[in-house]
Amino acid sequence: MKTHKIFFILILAIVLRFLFIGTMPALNPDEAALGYNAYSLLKTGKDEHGSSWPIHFKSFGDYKPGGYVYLALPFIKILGLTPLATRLPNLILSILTIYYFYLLINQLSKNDNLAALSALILTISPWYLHFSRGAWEAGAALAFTVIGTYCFFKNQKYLFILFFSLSLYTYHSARLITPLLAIILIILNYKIEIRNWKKWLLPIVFGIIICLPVLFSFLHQGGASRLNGVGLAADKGPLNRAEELLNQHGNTKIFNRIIHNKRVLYLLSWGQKYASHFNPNFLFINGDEVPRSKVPEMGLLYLIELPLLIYGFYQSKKRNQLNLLMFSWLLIAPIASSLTFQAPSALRSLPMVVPLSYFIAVGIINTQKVYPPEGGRAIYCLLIAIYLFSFAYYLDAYYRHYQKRWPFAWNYGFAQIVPYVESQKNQYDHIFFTNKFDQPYILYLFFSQYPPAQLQPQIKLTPPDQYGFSTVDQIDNITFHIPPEKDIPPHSLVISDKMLLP
Amino acid sequence: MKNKIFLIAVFCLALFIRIYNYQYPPLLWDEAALGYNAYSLLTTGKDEYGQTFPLIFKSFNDYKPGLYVYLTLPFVKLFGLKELAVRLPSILIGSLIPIGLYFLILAINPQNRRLAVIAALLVVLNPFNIHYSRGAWETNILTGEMILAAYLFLKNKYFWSSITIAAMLYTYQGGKLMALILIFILLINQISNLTQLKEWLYRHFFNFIFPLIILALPVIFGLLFKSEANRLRVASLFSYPRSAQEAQQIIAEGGQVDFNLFHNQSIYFLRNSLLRYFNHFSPEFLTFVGDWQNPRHSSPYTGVLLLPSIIFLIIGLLNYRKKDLFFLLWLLLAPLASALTRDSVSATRAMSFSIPLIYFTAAGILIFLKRFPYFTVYCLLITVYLLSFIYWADLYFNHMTKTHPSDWLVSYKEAMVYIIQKQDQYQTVTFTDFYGQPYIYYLFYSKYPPAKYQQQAQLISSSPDVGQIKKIDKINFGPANFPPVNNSLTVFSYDEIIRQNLDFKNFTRFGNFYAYENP
Repeated sequence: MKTHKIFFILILAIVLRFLFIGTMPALNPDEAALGYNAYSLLKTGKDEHGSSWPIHFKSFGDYKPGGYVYLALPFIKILGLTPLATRLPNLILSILTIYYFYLLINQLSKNDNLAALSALILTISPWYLHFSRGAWEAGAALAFTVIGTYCFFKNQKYLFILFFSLSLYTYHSARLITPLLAIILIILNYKIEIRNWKKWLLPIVFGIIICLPVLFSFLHQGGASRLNGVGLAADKGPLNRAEELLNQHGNTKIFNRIIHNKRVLYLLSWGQKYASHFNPNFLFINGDEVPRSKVPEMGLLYLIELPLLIYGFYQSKKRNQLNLLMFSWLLIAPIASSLTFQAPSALRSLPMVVPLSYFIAVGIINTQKVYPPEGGRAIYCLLIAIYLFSFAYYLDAYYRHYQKRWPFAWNYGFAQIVPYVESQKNQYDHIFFTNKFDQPYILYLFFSQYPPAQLQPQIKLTPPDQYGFSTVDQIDNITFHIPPEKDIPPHSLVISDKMLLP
Repeated sequence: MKNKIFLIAVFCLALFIRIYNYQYPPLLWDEAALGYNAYSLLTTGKDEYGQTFPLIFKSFNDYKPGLYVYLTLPFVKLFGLKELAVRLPSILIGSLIPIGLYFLILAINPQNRRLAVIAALLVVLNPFNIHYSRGAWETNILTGEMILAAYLFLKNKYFWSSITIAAMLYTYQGGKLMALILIFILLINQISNLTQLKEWLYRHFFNFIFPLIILALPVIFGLLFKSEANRLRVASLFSYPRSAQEAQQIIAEGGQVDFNLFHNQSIYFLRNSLLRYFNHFSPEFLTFVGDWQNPRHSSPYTGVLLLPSIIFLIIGLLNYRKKDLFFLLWLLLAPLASALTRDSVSATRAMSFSIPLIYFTAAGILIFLKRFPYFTVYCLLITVYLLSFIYWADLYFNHMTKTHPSDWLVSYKEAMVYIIQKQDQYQTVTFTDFYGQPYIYYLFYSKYPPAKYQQQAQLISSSPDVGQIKKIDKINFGPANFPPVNNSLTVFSYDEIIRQNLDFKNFTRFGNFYAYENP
């Protein structure tokens, strides 16, 4: 019986994650970049910009951590350059996450029901489901974090360090959250670990060695520039506010300069961003502001989970290892996200979904205590009914409304237009492709399976925009923007979205 | 004795913070209207429209419940028609609220003296409460009445409690809902099952329910048959369903069955009212932004609580115990009054929300101090709170009206005093209505004889919302256009000058206003 529960949950997880995964949602540019770089490595041993086996991929000038590209290599080798192959690593890892989350809770609570329920909540959580379906580096990094945490409690120090290090190779935010989580884990087990400190020496040396490459790579290229682009300091709001407030005083007395110091305002701005991840509207009503990170008219979690979550908090006040771990996990998860320009961000704070699922499960488990036993059963039935309705609501929003409401969010239509462009390519001197949707070039490369060897000599990034992103404007005879009508030479094909047609 | 000294000190400190620089911020329309109606009652026994001692004042067609006007009467009598007179009822009640909360907490649990002390001190320094105590805000009176009614109820003085609850109905629009909520909370707090409820109702029919119903009759009557219902309709969230266009889009995406099942009106309203409800619990509202819907409701760039409070609030809430039930219910129900209206968040409608917030913050501080009972921790805590208060006070006194000058109706007074001086020299005087309701400022600052005004009060209302007065004697209130007629004095708003491309040099400036004299 024990294995059955999690077996069924995993089946459900697989179904939910693989349903229409090839086309729903359409491939977005970041996914295409990951897939195409893996393809490029396979064909030429270099990434699209011609660097050999890099740790950070330059891509759109955002220097993507390379872990995901390497994960995707075998799948693209076997299945070819398809959306499914690009997404498979995260799909598989998300199912592993659910399984290891179950094992982790089971290990720490010795309560199989609670563990299975937590895993079930995570499985059907809109937040996690969203970022499981697609090549999201954040999902892969989370998987490594969860598996690593389980290894820690299984006392497998090398595996723990290996998985935590892997997450550093996979996603920017994880570089802050994973080390913090490691520290928390050590602190929670301070009394035991301090006695065994000798056993930690070698694993730590091992950890330092495998982390060195990513550290150097981060410092030398990329990583730092990415921080400048999306970091807290990129937000000029607090700076302008400091000036505005000082101007209103009309003098620059030392007192005014202290309280309207830009550091004070940046600190407050950070606090606001951090706290905004716990705003019930963010979690339960509206979700993220970025259409690519949410479904229409829905929060990141089901509304019914709010009372359950609060009840779960109250029922988790006992100071045992599991509760402390989950509370600290919940508190550190938004830190990386709150240090960026755009907050709250469902993507960057994805690790929050793990402790939230746990607390919701605790809440559900404890509802039977409210009015035992009939009351508990009635509440269960009611809960199941509401959950089913919410779940149907979510699936409806995801599969029916999402792509029609915000087709631009996932660049719908590229899979169809690119073969057409390919077939016409030799008949025209110039092809102009709209740049209304971000990074069209990478989707063209992806869907046309453009030979990487041919691309690497000619690729040229445009100067970065204010967020530090660049794009590619020209590949062969294809230009990825539409010039004014008079500048379009004869024998040209113009691919536009319908809004631009004369 | 120690108690008394503490309470007197608290009152004096609160009074000082609330009365300090009482002319700031500038008088708002509603405050001017409350003051002038009181003045009108004192001199003629009628309101501005000639109604004899009404319970509800028509004012700008928003039908203000009248208690505040009556509270203002003695002060207008004493001090004349001045800002201080209008604001004093709110200032005084706002200074009594800390003491009221102190006694209320003790009435619920006499062991809680330390909690009561901390809570009283927090109210004194809390931005939410200070803000609404420094102006003539009816909602502040309502909060005071809620504390008083709850205290009397818990002390078994049911008759006086019911009178206070009845007074809530005549204090503020949101008072009706808050009165229901308060009665509900009080009953839940004392009664655990239905038989007890029945017994209680029998026992207290004559000293609680009967007086309440008698006193509430006019309000219920007005709600059912008169124009106050209109006001309710304008404000209610449920008057604004999903637009037909949006509904069409959803049907196009998913079909009619899908629309009826997942996107119907009830789900739409549920999502929208919850959105508003949660906004009141958001860190933005509480700590970082304040009431973002209306700059008149809080200081800029800061919330309704002091910065450290949010941490202690969470600690207090996480350590909820059974005896906190009364304040927990208050906390959960108080934002309802504003969650059901069209504004996405409203500090004004939810003002009584400040009381449970402070209660749980104080509880959090108490738990924190019990966990770390060190002298340095005490000092640190006090320092952090004082710094945060200074930070807020600077934003309030030095930045609030400067950041949103037009919302704060800056310099209505100066401009009005100017035309009141000059009006005899010109045949026509025009005053811009760009910032709304200029007439009430004219009446207020010129102390216009109410008897004379009542005969020409002609409120023109084009929308179901507020109406306008266009003319008093030779003074027109309307859009200011260039060039004005000969022998006239015209006061423009900043925006009107920009829009008409005029040169600022030719105008005399009064803050937002620019006067032009055409001899």
